[in-house]
Amino acid sequence: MRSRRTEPAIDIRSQHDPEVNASLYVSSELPRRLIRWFEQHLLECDDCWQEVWLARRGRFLAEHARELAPAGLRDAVRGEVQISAAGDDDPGRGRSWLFDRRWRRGR
Amino acid sequence: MRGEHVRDEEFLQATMGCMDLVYNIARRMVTSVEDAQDLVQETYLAAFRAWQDDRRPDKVEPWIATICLNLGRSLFRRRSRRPHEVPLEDQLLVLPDRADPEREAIASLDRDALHRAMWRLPEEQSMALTLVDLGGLSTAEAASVMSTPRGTVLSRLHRGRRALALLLKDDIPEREVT
Repeated sequence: MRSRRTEPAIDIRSQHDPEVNASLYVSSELPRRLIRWFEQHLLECDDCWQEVWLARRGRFLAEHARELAPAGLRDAVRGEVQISAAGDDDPGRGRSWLFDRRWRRGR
Repeated sequence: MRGEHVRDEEFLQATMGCMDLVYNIARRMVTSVEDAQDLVQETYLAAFRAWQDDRRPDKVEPWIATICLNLGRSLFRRRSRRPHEVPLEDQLLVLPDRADPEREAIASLDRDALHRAMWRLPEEQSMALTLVDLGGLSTAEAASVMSTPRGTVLSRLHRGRRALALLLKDDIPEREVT
């Protein structure tokens, strides 16, 4: 994996950006020392308050779009990986491309 | 053979917990459920090959998410046609006089409407939402997966959340906060 870049910390006190502020706050990524400061700021800043309101609602909706992977898919992946591992020792047992199709037909 | 078995079990143990994350990324990248399932399988096989080559990550979730994203872009993107994306940045919104947006949103969520709305977002916003809000990655991890600065992810994330809230504002009846 690519090495992670180090980026300067975002200081919301010196740079008023309601989008970024709301994004950090709703993602629970504001440093603890800034949370109280920002919540006080929210009482005075309509722009930030509106963005936080929308962001909370949007995040809530996005969380509800989460889907669980079908149980059959877990089995299929497990099978594919095991077949692939076996295929490394025995070239005659390479990956079966029919595996997933067969699984689908059986659903 | 025994060594291989240990290795694939080790891989599966480390990665199977990421299945929902990978599946949700795949669902955002391709329109059909079957293609999404194919993409998940391809992702796991590619990840397993890397694992066998001792290219193992410090943290599995962003690593496998990156593999899925890259594979999805190269394998499926040209085949899939995203529904029309709508710019929502300039829409005006009158906020109701309520302090609890989550409670209002929970009133009657129509899951299909939610998925349709997710598909109407620009891809980069939808992916930021998927990685952070659905997948639980930090914005720094999502930035790494999407190969963009963290500030860009924060902005995409916010615009995606905002757009989703606006797209579904008529689908969710308001209700009194008790």
